[in-house]
Amino acid sequence: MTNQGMQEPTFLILTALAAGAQHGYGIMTDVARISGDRVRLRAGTLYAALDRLRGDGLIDADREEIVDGRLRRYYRLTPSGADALAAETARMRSNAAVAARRLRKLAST
Amino acid sequence: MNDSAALERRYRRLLAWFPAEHRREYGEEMVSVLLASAPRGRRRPRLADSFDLMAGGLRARLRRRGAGLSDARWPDALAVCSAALPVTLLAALAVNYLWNLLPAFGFSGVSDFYLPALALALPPLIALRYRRTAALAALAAAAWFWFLLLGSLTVWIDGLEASYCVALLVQVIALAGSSGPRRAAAIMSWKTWLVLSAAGITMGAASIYYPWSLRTWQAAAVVLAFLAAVGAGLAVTLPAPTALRLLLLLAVPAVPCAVWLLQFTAAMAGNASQHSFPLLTFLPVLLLACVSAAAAWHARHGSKTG
Repeated sequence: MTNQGMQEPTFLILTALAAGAQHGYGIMTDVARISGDRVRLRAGTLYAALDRLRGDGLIDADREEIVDGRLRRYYRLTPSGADALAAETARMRSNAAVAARRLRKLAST
Repeated sequence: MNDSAALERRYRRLLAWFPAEHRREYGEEMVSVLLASAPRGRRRPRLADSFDLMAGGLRARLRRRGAGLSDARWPDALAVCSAALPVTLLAALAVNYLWNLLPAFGFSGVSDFYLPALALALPPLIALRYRRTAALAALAAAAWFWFLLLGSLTVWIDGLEASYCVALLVQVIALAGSSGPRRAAAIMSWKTWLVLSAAGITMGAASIYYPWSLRTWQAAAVVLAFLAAVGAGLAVTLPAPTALRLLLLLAVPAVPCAVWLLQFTAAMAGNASQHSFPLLTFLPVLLLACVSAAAAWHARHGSKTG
């Protein structure tokens, strides 16, 4: 993993999967819900990201189901995916804490 | 056909933007997700979805291509290149030389063609034993030809000579960045040698008799057909990753040579001056050479350290 921050769609996909295994459409709707409808992933972007995250070992296929004759594959977070999400959360929390402290200071002057 | 079936057919058509491997892995799933997220009664994909699929497909292709080109298989391609360039040019030289020996035509003296061809051929011969010496010899030859070329800049650039200069530089990289012709002999089958020899013989024959009466577009078609035939021959007789990289390396000298040939044809037909070889042609060629060299260096360095 690089020292650069994670891209927001990646962070949101990992966050969605932190709640448990989900299929593609479930991840799309969950990401929209988590981001307050601000980030709406489309299928092309979502599956390019899922392919990359699987390649990096951050997520993996959990199980497959056939619903109404259509394939549904569930994805889950791997231990290294959970570590990456935890590290990114800590980084964002630390940045947010600094920003909040400085804003409080700015407001009090 | 109902709305859903029409929409699904259109989505599947858009999925062609993704690489086949990606489609095999995710295609059915993506169709399910696309249909699930489409409003009821819709027959055509939304414009935003179409763009997203096209962009996603291109990104996936670039990512796979990029991953494929940056691995450690460059040294094999460079090794084959270090043998391919001299074999092709020696075959061309032999045809030209033998033709000139025919009594009916008389020996017409040493052509400009011979010296660069020999300069390209000698280093790999030395390389069978002394690869570093061979790389230095190729570098010295390249420096000499660049010196001659730059000396003639004030008049005009002969694209063919320029192509030799570029070929010599590629040869230096090929010899320095690989195990050289010894490794090439282990990779290439007799069919690859045959393809390269046939390409050289065709080039030699073209140097004796070239149908100058061709129109430029006809000459372009002939050149493209020749390059396609050689490319296909190499792609079929070599492992695909090696062939792809080899074609990229061979394109570096082939592009200025093809441009020179077309311009010369046009000049013979009275359409253009042969004294105006477009220097700009070399910009993409040099860029390609730099990228190839950097990738080769990276692969070699990476394979040693990693």
